[in-house]
Amino acid sequence: MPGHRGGCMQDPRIRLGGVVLLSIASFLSLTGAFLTILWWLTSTDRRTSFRDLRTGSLVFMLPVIAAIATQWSGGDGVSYLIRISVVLLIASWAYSERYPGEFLDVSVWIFGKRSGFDLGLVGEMGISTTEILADELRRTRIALSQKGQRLSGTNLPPVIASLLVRQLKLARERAGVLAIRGYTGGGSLCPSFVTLYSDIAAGAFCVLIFAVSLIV
Amino acid sequence: MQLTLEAVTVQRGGFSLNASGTFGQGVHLLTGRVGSGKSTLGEILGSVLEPASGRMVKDGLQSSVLSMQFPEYHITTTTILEEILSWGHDPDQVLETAGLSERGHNDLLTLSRGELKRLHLACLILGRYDLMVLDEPFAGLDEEARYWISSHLSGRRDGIIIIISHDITTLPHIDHLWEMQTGVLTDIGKVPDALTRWDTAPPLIRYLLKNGSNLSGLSCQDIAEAVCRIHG
Repeated sequence: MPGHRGGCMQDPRIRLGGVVLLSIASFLSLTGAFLTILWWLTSTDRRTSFRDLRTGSLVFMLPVIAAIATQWSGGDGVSYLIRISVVLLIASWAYSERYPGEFLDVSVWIFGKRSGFDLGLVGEMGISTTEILADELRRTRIALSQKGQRLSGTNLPPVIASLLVRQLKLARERAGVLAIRGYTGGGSLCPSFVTLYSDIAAGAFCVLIFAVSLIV
Repeated sequence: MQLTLEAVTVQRGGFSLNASGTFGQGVHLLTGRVGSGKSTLGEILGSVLEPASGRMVKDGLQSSVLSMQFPEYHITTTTILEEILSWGHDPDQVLETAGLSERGHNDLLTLSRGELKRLHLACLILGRYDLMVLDEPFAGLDEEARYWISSHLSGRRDGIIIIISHDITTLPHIDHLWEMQTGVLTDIGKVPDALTRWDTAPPLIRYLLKNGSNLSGLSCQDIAEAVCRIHG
């Protein structure tokens, strides 16, 4: 039996399923979006939903631009902005709740030790690469600040080239490690999950919200 | 010229860092286990990370620089020449110091990590900084290059140099010793008096102290002399 893994919702299967259902519900209607906010307020530790406000603000800029364009062209931009913001909120919460290896666990649980393992492995490596890239970008900003510079059109190409080369080297090292360990496809993994009563209740609430959003 | 940390704290997930102390002019060694918070403290000292609470007071420090552990992090240009110019240095002087003469037009990505580190460190030591924070400056360097950087650092007479390292084999002359232990900064004191108070000293230092070899410092020359005394 695995121990407590830090986040509010312990079972990643319920979390992943809940995210899918709530995202669809939020996107389908404003009612679904408002119910999803209600779910977020009652079923999560809201303080952990935002890891990096600066990055969150940058991501939020895209739907704002799309909403303005929608409103300007005669559509309901406000409704779009509310619905997509809730989708982003739930995605941010799910990302901050995840623990290393959970994607692999869930993938193997759903799809089995062959394709599930491969899919989970790709997912885990993708997520860790994203985190490494975020950290490298932070360090690049530090490097530029040491030289009294800021990110600009002049230094952007070499900075991106350097980041890419480092990512390629990392990918080669990972491939080497997998080859040394005899990986050819699939793998042995027996995922185990902690399921709290509160997880089940929150999951049932997700299903209810999804059903209501389909009806309304 | 001094740098003072007043009850500085940082929180990262389950990790917390607490640091207080004054770094005066001279060479400081900040050591500690991997994951103890040395690099995080280095980022605070290098003014690239804001503490959650407490404050850092700089007295008489006009310029500072932070050298991150991996030299690749510092690359913001394409060629060696451009990289040197991005630091505002004379290319010929840096290339000669780094032992990379005639290679100015080479792509930075063709350099080995050791060569890149030498280039980066040469750019730093030829700069005029009141405060230099060097995170693992010896990592990735061969023996010859380690002595090279140590001798350059020993030759600096002014400013504050803070070396973050757990490698004690090729250090320059160290004036003051600090240690990070699970996120807490401990001021062990001035070298050599601090050596006897260094409870978690590396095995070589403990051995030399235990055998009464009169260890007078942490520089490679001090350690070599202490070893010679043991063997008579």
